[in-house]
Amino acid sequence: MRFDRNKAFPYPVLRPYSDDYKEVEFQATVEFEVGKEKIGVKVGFAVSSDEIAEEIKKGNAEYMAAISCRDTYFQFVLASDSRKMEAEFDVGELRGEVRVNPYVVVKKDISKFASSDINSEFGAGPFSFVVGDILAQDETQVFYIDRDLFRPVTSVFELVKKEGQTEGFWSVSFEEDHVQIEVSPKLKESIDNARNDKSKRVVLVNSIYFAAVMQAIQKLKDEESRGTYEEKKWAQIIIAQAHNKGCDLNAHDAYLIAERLMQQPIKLLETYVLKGGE
Amino acid sequence: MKANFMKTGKVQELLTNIAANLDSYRNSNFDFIVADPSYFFETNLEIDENLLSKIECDKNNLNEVQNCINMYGAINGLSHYLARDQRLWVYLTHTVLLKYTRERWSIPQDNEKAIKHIKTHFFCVGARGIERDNAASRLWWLASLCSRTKGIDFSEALTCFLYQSDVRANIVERPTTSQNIHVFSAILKKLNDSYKSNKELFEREKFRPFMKELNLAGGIKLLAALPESSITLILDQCIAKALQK
Repeated sequence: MRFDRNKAFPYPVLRPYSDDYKEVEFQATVEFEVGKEKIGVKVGFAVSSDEIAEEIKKGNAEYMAAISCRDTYFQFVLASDSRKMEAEFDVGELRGEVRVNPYVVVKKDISKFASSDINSEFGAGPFSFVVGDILAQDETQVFYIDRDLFRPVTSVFELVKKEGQTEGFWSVSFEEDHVQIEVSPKLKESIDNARNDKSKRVVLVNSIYFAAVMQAIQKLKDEESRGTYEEKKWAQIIIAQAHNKGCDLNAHDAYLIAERLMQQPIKLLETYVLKGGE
Repeated sequence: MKANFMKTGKVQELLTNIAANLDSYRNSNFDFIVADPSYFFETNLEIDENLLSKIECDKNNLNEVQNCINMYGAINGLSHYLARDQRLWVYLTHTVLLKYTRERWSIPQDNEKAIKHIKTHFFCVGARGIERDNAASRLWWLASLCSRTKGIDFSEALTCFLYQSDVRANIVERPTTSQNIHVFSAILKKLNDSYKSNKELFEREKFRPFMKELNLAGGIKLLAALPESSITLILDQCIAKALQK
């Protein structure tokens, strides 16, 4: 059951954008961690309705999070009377969009539920609930899981040599699945040689790659060019990585998003070049 | 044998060159792919070549159930993550499963129609291309879905699931019915019962109202929170209402 802010239940449900309850809230936090073999998820719940919390305590209801992945037909239901729960899945179970729907669900029939926070439109109560009814629901949280998403964003950028490229200039092409950073054959050779040295690699990341990532983000910020490129692999990776890191392509500046996606590359510059450390 | 994956760039190249390769799709082969390692890379995934070679059909017998079983058995170590990788399936439809793909999805005479048809069944195009359209991957995904069912034999589950494409699409396209194992199993059992009797539930005018009733029930009650016995009870009520209409 997906979250729909316009939906009306035949019984009061504590949820965002709804006035079924007054003054009280139900919220969930979800965190994914992707490892080499396993994907971990941690879900935390907070409910400020004393009456709902009491039903959980009495064993009549429980916190629940339904974790679903459309691409792999995976669904896992986490349920507990504890406000914190976690689970682990094989890394092969999830791919693409993963949705987490948090609820408080009735697990034993409740015959006399009353709360002064319930909107008077529902009448004086008390209310009855049966197994499977929902006492509280939070908004669906969406995550993108792909091994490529947990690689550095620069993995979708490719340095290629371009015959005839003027020395001292480089260009970026967005037409392929990987962004192509086009440099002269001579510069390509210099860069390839520099890759063996950590501090030189850090300079590359902070110069040519940072600018290219920023420009790619700008292409996705611009509505017109976004339509042209959003099916490309590089665009999908940037869009999904930005989403997972809480960046808004429409609202945040390109350089700030680039900093987040590249995990503050200036820190590496400071450590390996400016301070000369290892 | 180890599974080979086509390189991404080569998938793109083949997709671009469908028109130029029409004769190979219709009458010849893509042996140059197997012969040229720049087209693919080997993975650690094991494939049972013997089972794969048993995937076959003809005009009179599509052999869908057995082909699904053979495909799933041939690549049973495949994770769902990798099963969504088009590079595996495009390699198979252009090599060991070329003949099967050509016979299962007969290529139209008209060149324009043929290009569209090849894109659909030899490649994995669009949101549902992998589980619905690609000749090889659809067999694996159908089998994978049915392998999760509880309380119903794998082969029987496949038989009733594959019986009617409209019914199948209705189940697969609804996350509520395809993702939750209890709900999916309970529906398949109902379909299996119907398949063995009068097949009434497979009729469009019966199955669609049944799904509609189930949607309504799932709108106010969290089906994922219920045990299979309670789900079966809800399904019985939905079927009774649908059959009354």
